[in-house]
Amino acid sequence: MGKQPEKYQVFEKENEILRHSKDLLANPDMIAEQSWIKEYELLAQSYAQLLGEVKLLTSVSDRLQNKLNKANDNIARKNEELTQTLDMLNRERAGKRATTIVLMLAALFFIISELVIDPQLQEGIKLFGVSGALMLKITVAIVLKPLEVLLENLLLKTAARIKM
Amino acid sequence: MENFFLEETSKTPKLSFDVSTGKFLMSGRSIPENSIEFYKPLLEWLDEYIKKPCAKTEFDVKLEYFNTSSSKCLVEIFRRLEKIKGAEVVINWFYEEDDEDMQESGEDFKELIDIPIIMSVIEN
Repeated sequence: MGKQPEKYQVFEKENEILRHSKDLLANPDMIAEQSWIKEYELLAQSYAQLLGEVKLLTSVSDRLQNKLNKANDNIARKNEELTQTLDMLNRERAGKRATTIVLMLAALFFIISELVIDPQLQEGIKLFGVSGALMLKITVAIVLKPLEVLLENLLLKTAARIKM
Repeated sequence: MENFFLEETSKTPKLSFDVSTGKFLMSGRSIPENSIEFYKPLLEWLDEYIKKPCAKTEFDVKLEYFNTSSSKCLVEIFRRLEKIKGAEVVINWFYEEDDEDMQESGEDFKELIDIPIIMSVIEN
C-alpha cells in the first residue's frame, strides 16, 4: 500500500490491522495453525468496531450536511430580503430625484409663466376670459404629476442598466 | 507529566487536560484543516496519562460544532480513555437546549463507546 496523504492518518490503526491481515494471508506460515482462530477473532472485533465508527461518522456527516443546507437556505433568504430592500431603496431614491427635478421644472415654469406667458395671457383674457386663463394654469399644474412618474421610471431604468 | 492546555481558536477547541485533578475539558468548535495533526499531541499525551490515571477522570465535552474527521479523533480520544482500568471515567456531553444535532451526536457516541456518557443540557 502506497503512502497515504496526511489527512488519512486518522485511520492509522485501521491501516495497521489491514496490513497485518494481508501479511498473514501472504505468509500463512508466519503463525501456528491454532493461532488463526485468534487472529480471525481479532479481525472480527476490529471489523465490528470499525462498522460502529463508520455508522457514527455517516450520521455525523449527514447532520453536518443538514446544517449546511439550513445555512444555505438562510443565506438565500437573507439575500432575497437584501435584494428587495435594495430595490425599495433605489425606487425611493429615484422618486426623490424625480420630485426634485419636477419641483425645479415647476419653479422654472412659474418664472416663465410670470415673465413670458402672463403678459400673453393678459392678451388671452381679452380673448378667452378669466376662466380660460385659469384653465390653462391648472392644465400646466396637472401635467406635472405624470411628468414626475415618467421621470421616476426613466431614473429607475437607468439605475437598473447601471447595475447590470 | 505536565497538563495539556491549548487555547481556543475560531477553528479549534479549547483543550484543558489537568493531570493532577483528572478534569478534562474540550470546548468550542472543532473544524481544523488537519484534524489528526491537531489532535495527535493530545492522543500522545493521553497514551501517557492512561498509564497512571487519576482515581476519577471526568471529561467535559462542550462542543458547538465539529467536522467529520474531528469526530473520528474524538472516537480515538474516547478509545484511549476506554483503556483505563481500575479507575472511574465519566464523559459529560454538553449540548445547547435547541441543538438537536449535538444531542444526537452524543447519543451516537454513547452507543459506540464503552464509557458512561452523561448527556447534559446547557440552558439558553
